[in-house]
Amino acid sequence: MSTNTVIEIKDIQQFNKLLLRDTLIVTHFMAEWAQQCLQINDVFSELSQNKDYSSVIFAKVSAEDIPELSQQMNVTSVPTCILFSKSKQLSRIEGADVPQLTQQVKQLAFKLGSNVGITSNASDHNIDERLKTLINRSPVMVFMKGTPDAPRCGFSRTLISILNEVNANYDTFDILSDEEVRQSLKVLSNWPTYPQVYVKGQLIGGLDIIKELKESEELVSALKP
Amino acid sequence: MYMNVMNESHKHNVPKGSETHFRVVIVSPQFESLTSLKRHRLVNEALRQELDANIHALAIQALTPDQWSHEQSVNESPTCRGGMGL
Repeated sequence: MSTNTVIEIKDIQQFNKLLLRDTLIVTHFMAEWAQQCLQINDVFSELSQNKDYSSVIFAKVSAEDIPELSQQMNVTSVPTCILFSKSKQLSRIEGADVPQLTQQVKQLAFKLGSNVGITSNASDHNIDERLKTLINRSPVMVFMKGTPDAPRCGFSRTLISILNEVNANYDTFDILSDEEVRQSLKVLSNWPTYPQVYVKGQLIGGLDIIKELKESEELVSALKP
Repeated sequence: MYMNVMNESHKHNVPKGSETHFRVVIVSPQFESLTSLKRHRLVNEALRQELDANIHALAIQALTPDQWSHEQSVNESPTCRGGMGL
């Protein structure tokens, strides 16, 4: 699935087949004679070689060579870049807006990448299933604001430092990166705040409870897988 | 029985006069034989409406009278690392 090169689309069937894939697909409708398209081509080449985007597919289409396709995709000028996944159009950039293009690729690659990694069945959008998989991703799972290296909240930061103090093995999820998880998890667990700690899929509690366990020296055994 | 509700919003990066971050200390014999998790859930339940609406952060100390007479101290909440809307 890893591609280091930009695919050249030759016909409409090839394009339509490509769109069914469940990874991120970044397409460039271009013309050889357009200076701005050459610029976007360079950007595509660079992005396609970026390890972070090894599961992203980059493809270019000569807009004038396949007019039915340009029409089908409502392309009226070049360069036009359209980002897809699973037949859905996710984003569209008209003109040589390199910052916008790279930002969209980054955002959507991250979003889709984290989905594909977590749910084994990529077409399963059920949030409860997604949450259950997330909660069980590690024997000790922490839902926090930010990351262990860069917590975005004093409560989360303190929780992480307590876990580190007892040398706990844990994985984390940044709920600031995913609003759907942030809100749905509160409902599923019936717990209103973050951070939240789960051991073997069960909610243990938040910072207050972790602190209590540490003080009563029950923390290490509570975290044992 | 003892209860103390503290508005800690001033410790956070929110406008003056905000009522968004709280610490609650509750002492009740009803907590006897309940795990911390269950005690916190009781408090969360009692505050459900507030939590759904305005409260952004809630620190809870839920103790039995016995524990309180040994503890007798209010914990410190961590300093804020976030801002509005976090």
